[in-house]
Amino acid sequence: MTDIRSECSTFRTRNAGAFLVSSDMVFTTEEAYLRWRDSGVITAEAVAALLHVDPATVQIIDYPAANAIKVTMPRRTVAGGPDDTDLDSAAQFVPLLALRLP
Amino acid sequence: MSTENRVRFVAPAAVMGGGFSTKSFRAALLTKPDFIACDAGSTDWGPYYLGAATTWAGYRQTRRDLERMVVGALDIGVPLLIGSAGFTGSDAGLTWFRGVVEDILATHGRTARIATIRTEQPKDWVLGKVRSGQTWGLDGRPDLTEADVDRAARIVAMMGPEPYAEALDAGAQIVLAGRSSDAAIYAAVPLLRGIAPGPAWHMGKTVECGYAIEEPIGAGECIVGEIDDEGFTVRPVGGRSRCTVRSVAAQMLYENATPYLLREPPGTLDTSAARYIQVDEQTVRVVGATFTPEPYSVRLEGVEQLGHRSMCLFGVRDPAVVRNVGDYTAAITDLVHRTAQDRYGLDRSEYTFGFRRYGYDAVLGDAEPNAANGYAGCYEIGLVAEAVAADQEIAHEIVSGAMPFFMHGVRVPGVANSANGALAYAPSVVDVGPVFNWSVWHAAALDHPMEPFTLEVTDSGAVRQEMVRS
Repeated sequence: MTDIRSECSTFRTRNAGAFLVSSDMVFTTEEAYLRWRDSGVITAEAVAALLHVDPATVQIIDYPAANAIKVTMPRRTVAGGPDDTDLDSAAQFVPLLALRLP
Repeated sequence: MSTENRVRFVAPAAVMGGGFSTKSFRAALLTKPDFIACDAGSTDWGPYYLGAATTWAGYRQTRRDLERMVVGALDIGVPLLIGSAGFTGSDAGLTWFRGVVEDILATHGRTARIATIRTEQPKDWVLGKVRSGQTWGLDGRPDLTEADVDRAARIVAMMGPEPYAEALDAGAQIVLAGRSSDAAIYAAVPLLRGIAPGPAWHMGKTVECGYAIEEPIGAGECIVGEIDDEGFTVRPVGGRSRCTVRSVAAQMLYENATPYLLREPPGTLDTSAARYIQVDEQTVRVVGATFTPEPYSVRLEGVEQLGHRSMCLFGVRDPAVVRNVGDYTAAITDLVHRTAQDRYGLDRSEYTFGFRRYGYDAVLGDAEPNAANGYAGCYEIGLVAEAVAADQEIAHEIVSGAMPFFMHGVRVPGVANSANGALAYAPSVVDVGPVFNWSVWHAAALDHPMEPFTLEVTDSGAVRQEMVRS
């Protein structure tokens, strides 16, 4: 079982505007990127299950130019709103650390 | 397409006030740039700054960066373009920022032609756009209503590159724009000089966070480069940092929904055919992006004020309370609601009261993976109790009135009554000030790129210069 962050140079979430959150998984090597991309592990369903959101709202985007996989979805609540606890979505990647390559 | 028409640029910093290497900036000025540009704003740090018409970076922090840019640009005789000057596009923020520039000119005995471009919008103009069906929601927002506009504390429109071009045509040496597309700050001069829009917009987006595209992170070396009709180069200057294919390509990921498409006022940048080429140890060349013109539209950003917030930070360490923290916070909340009418004369709709449970579920909420194991291992929780009400005094009263409940008023089922809330500070209740929320996040179609923007050009510095000399 391979831990996803151990193969990434960047593993983060950030706001993409005030209403979307986006996760960037930038892999250290092209080999690791392709292995994860083709593994079938990073799917809308898998991400949605970890983040407790509707899979229909999750977009998975391959970005070979940076050996990266990007995952974008609506924020749980508007950025900086009265019940928001993560202004720039900086810690929202944490549940995705559970992604494992069999 | 030709590569004979070339424009050179300097992107000194990631954000105004974020700092940059002085040694690197000196080297950047020697590259014979055609312009220097810097982004000074953001919406990523929340709705407060627009609501309060204030800035993230304070006076000293802003001046330290801006002084080097103003003096450097005047010394070599090239324009300085600052986008989102004053952080959010508010008129008050822009005026404040202009004051910093005036102070710098006075200190150095310099004069300059300064353009300011106002982007804060009167409600009548926005209402007109709503009534004529020229607005639509972004990122899944429902349509803008007249009530949204009426309720808003402040609305700004995000300008494209054309107002910069007008300012430069008027001879401005320093252009201070209110709310601006980040990429437009850097794309404006190349577009004005006739560079193809694909490379111009791709370059703009790539360098808008300055040294964020270099490795290693943290050196703060200025980014310089050159653009032509086919593509552009970028490199850090004056030190050992590098741009790599990956570090440059990765910038399209940052705070973006997709790395391939970027909607800008005049159309959409498409980077799906872009290629990134390592030219030498420090330099990357980027080619292949395209730009498709679309009907001109700008983003509207607006906030509403929800009230004022007060808060109190305290910890719970009692194992029984930690184990039953949900019951504990619910019991306190219930007591606040049951006593508010009698104590403060407040109806339930006139305030909010609640908790953030740090060390438990504050950061991830429902997505907290430790919920599945009952938060095993949790032995201490930081609680923030907070109230939002119309007046600061009322919010304060609600939180301070709840303090006795944290301390000793609440029994956790099955446990002897104990004083449980470990107050972190005296004073324990902190008044945070006004609370805002994003309420306008929409696009508006424009009749022409300058429609809602006001350009003012004045020669500054001379009067103060005389005063300094006398």
